[in-house]
Amino acid sequence: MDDVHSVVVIGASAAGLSAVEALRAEGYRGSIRLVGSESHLPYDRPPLSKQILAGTWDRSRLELRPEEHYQRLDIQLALGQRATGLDLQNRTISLERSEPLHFDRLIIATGANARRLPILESASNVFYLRTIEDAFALSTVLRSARSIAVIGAGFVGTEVAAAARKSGVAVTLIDAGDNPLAQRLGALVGSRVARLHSDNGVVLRMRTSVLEAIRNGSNIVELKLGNGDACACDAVIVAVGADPETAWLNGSSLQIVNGVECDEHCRAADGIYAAGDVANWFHPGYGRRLRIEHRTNASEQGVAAARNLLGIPTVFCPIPFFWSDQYDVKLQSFGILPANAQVSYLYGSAESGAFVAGYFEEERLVGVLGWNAAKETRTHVATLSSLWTHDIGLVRMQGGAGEAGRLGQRPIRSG
Amino acid sequence: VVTAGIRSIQEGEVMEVVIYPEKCCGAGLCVLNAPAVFDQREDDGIVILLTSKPPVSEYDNVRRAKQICPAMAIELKE
Repeated sequence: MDDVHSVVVIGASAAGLSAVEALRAEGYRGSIRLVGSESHLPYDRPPLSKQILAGTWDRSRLELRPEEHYQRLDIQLALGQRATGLDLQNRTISLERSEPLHFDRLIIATGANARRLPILESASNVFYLRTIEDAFALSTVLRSARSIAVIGAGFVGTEVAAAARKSGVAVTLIDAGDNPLAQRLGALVGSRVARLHSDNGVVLRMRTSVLEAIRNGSNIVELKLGNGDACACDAVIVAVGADPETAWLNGSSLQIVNGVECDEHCRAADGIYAAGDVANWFHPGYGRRLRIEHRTNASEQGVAAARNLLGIPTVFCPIPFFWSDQYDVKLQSFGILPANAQVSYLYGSAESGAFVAGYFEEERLVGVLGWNAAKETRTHVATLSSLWTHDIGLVRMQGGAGEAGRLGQRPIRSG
Repeated sequence: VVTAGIRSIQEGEVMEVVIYPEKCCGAGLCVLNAPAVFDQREDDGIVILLTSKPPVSEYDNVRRAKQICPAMAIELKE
């Protein structure tokens, strides 16, 4: 890597942090700039909808690493700096508030932004949940509001609903799907999630959407729904998904289709790599493109991108993983849960309070979802990758050649 | 203190493993990587530390477990 003297990482969250650490861990000694649009040191997002809304953590616990860590690794942090353009020819990044940055190699890790609902814009009691500021604003709302409407019943929407119920706030959960999380977890588990929320007092308004917001001054006081219902509320939380942050790459000639398109080496163009929520890469194990907005994927893909950048060929072939905490239920998933998969119980059932659901494509297990069944869920992990020829994930990347051969303690790629 | 990645083992080094069960999300990735050092509670899958001073032969496994823990519930002092 004699020709690489400067690496720039755009995006200072989990994926970017993991990338810069991996560059140093692999022995790269040149300059590293970690550029983030937020003004905070890199922080962890999963606790935002969990411990922060629950009020059990203070702000300092979110920091992924203390400030000295970056000095120790000789990483130049540029925080509060938004990238506005990429010039592939001249190898420069333009920044909103500084001189352009030159790079020899680049990692794009700009993540995703919460999708906005235009009909609710400019109202003062509409909240999103993506950043640390969002989380503390919402946490304050949950301590004062009597009733909230949550639009969108994905992971963020359902976790917010659960946190609000724990605070004693009345919740109406609105989604166009048949059941909460059904789009992500399928019909079988979705109906169990619906029961969990209604058992905990959430008013479910499924298979409908918001037609109109009734305002009193700058506040929204009622939502009119497509099914004819009306929903009075003190605050509205919008959780209708996230879009990869790629606007700054328009005109760069990179292929942008649902994120930055990359190959199985996380490579988007010569010397340009992507990792985390923003990366849409080819997963050779599943034989398809994936873009994953989960915490563990960000860390893992940051490592893979960094290694490939340094010329250490690393096929990114992880077993994706996510978790979600709702009321007293811990959901965990390994693998992928495609919308058209056949779903059946591998352990327990919806009635038993703990179960593992298996997701099959043509009779092949491609994903598992555990419901209060952490240990049982783990026992199915090895099966997920048993047919993959590219058996390369984080464990093997870290451990070097030969690690993958130790079956019994089968190398597992977290995801 | 190890900050990232795998570091070569130096002579006389003693690793101490610290876990934070309140951060743990119960993924069990630590158990898959270092079953001699970590286990999970039966009911909720939360991490159990089997030994805080693992043998040198476990160091790489433990470092890997620390690195991939999705909830950053493992810390190493070495």
